[in-house]
Amino acid sequence: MHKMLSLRYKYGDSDSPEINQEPVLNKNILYFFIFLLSVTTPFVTPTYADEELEQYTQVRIIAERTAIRPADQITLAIDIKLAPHWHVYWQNPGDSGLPVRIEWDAPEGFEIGEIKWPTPDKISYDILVNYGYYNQAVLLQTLKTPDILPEGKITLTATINLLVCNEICIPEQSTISIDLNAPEDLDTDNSAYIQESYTKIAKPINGAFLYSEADKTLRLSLVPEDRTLLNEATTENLEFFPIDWGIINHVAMPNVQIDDGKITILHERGDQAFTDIKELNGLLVIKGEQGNNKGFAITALPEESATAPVVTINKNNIEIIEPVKNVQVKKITWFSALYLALFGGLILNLMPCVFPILSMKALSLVKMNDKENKEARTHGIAYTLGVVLSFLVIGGILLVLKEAGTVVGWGFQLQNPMIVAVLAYLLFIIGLNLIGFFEFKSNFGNIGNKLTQGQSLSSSFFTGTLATIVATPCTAPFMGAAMGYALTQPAIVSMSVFGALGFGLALPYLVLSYVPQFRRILPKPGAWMNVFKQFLSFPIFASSIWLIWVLSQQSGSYGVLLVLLGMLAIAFCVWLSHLKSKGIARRLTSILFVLFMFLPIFSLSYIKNTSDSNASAQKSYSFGMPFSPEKLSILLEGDDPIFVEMTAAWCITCKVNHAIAINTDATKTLFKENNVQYLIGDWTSHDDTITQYLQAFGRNGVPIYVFYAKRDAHSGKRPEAKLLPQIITTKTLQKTIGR
Amino acid sequence: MFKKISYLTLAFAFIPLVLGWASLPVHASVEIGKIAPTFTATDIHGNTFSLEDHKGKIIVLEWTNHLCPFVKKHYVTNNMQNTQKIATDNGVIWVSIVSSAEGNLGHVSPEEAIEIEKQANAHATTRILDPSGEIGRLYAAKTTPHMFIISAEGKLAYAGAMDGRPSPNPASIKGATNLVLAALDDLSTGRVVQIPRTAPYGCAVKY
Repeated sequence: MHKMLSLRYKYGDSDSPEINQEPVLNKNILYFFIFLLSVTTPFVTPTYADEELEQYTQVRIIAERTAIRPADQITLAIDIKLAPHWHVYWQNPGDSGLPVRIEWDAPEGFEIGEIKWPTPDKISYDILVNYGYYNQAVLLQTLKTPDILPEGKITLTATINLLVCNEICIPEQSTISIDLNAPEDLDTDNSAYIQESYTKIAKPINGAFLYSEADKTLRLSLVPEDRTLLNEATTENLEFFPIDWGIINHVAMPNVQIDDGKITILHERGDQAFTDIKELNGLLVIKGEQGNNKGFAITALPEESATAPVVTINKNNIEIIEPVKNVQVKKITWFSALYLALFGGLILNLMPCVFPILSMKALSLVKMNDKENKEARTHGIAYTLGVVLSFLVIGGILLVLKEAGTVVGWGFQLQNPMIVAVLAYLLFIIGLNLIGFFEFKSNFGNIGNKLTQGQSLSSSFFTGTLATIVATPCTAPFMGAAMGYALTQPAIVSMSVFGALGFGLALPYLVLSYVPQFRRILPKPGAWMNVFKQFLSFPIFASSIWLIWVLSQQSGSYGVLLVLLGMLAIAFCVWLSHLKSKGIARRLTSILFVLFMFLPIFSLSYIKNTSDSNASAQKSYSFGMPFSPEKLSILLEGDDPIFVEMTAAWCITCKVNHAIAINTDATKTLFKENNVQYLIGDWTSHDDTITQYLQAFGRNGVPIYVFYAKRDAHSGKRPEAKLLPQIITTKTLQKTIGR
Repeated sequence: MFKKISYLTLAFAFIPLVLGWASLPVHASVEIGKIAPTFTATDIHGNTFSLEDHKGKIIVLEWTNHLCPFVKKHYVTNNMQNTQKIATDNGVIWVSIVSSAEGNLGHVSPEEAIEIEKQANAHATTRILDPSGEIGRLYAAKTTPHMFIISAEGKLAYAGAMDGRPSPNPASIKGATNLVLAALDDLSTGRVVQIPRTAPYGCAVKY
């Protein structure tokens, strides 16, 4: 359409390609990448392949603290980690399975209380229902020490018998010892972890709870005295999980009525006769996502025996320690989330991977004169639609994954080396195109045929899609808070935030296309455009190099080798396609191309990361300690100020912050002078403890910087933790720490 | 266009159909003291087996899956075989049923089933493969093992576990009360079954 540039490049005997087209007009290439991404996306779920589980469960025992006194009381946690898709059972396993059993061998005088169970998930399978746990279950027991404590080290041993099931069931036994008051052990304090675990335990509540039976139906009449339950329970989300077998038919669905603080649940009866029962124990459960059911323990009495005052005080009233919330999570509203997303999207335009694409798109406008105003506007709209729709699609995928129980956040896709590789390829190809190595016009490896070059509206639309795809590795400032908010909200709200983000990304071009006055600011078209275009390939190559470096952290040197070979193959095939030969050579080219691109990508999934992520954190940072929740809780017990940084290799903002604000002489001196304890968490690969930490601050992406000021000498308390902005400078740190 | 729409309508028409089917009461009507539902099936040797042909006899239904650790517990200790032998020696009809669906754990061909019986030295009267799960759902069999006893009058007399020790550990057999033998004992002496209902335990039936 616009053949105004005369620069020509020669490659062997090939046709000299014109290079005045946008890099992004080829929707066939785009289709191919969308296909490639869609092929690899199902593997996004966290990979646990690194840990070869000999058993399907890994059991640990964690004491609230390891130093105990006479007549003391501490909590012991039995932490069961499960292989993906496997589950263990609650105290009422349901229609099959077995509850977890724990037997203790403790010195005389030590008393171990009953198991406090976390609220289970309801697991349905054909005509069966089970109650159990996926991923992790932390059971708690209280340990009471005798009045006179033996000297020195005290060892407690637990034998844990459990049945772990997926399609098959496997009985597993673990015998684990824990040492208390060991002379070599400094007192380890895990109270933060224990308190966190208590939040999952069903909370005993008071109220008037009655049951009766009529027509093979259990009727529960409940007047709970619990605000949370009354506020959150609906007729849709509330269920009753009995602790004993045979109370209800687990498969049947309950009929729940809620009327002004009074809850009635009707549920088909089970096989156990009520004649032998004096009271009914169970949980009222507000169903959430997997592992997030909220349980309230109740004891119901038979209706007929109930006389005047029917308020039953729960006899098992366990004192639940609410987790100490010494962090302030800034609540943001829908409006401010939309605003932040829009702003974040705008800034995305400046990221090195997106900027060149937007520039090329803007150049196409330069070529339009004022007469083509209308056309420019329709292109602006098509591009905006492309961006916004792509963001909505990505948002949808995120929501579906979240629904499926995967822990996700913006940038999480880069935890998968296959997606990183595909993006590196894509950027490499765009770079090759920009610098003029080839153009998309050629019959590129059979993937593209009958290309319509030029300014079709669909090409503008697909440029938008491409801009979105290449934007995914980048996190712009302000996006973190908006994304964190979006993923905790109902679908419509989340989608609106994603839409706003896309609109922000599309906005500069939209404005340019709508207001001709702005376009006049742009320089006049000329030969400089071609030079500029070539120049733009360098930030693109830089982005590609950065992705390969990310890959090196995930898949090691072998993974990098494979992907570089894949790039070599791409370049080779492009060169081949320049040769004039037709037929067999062409076909061979396409086969080679597909083969060499796919092979490395799929073999990446078999490569194990050789280096432990914490070890690599230590390697790549010159100072600071690797983050762990245990480490943090120990430090929090002390008096020193603490600085926590959460980062990931694929997070550019994190890297820039680290280089210009943290890893500097000024900051090092600052930390030293103020005794700042500095913890770094690396989220490059999947890490649940870090994800949980992020969630505590209402975030689900990195970076995040948290400062815990030193303990106040007078009050003996620590001030609230302070969440620093996502872009930090040495000055910010000096202001925050050096107060 | 019209074609497209009609396919779509067809697809939507199926939704309530499927939902309706899924919400059918799955709780089968087996109740202690009520007439037990009858069924006819082909056993692993190719013979027809019908519950009605054995009217007047006590019948034991045993849901089994040779790969389940709980089933293994009763077989490696010979607890199941001994119970089968005592029962069948006293004229009881013992039917082992495998309701594992094709592709699921424990699904076997008739030939494999014969071999499993032989290896285990089982004393069941017959063994039925129920890959469609029809018989299993008829009785709402939930676990392997899950035991049902039908009296000479054709009424359900017992439903539940082999014993009261829900564990896959073979050592747990020693000293456990054999609930099936206890119920059979009650029935053969004309008493009312003392413990007619217990919680079955084990692996889920792999429907």
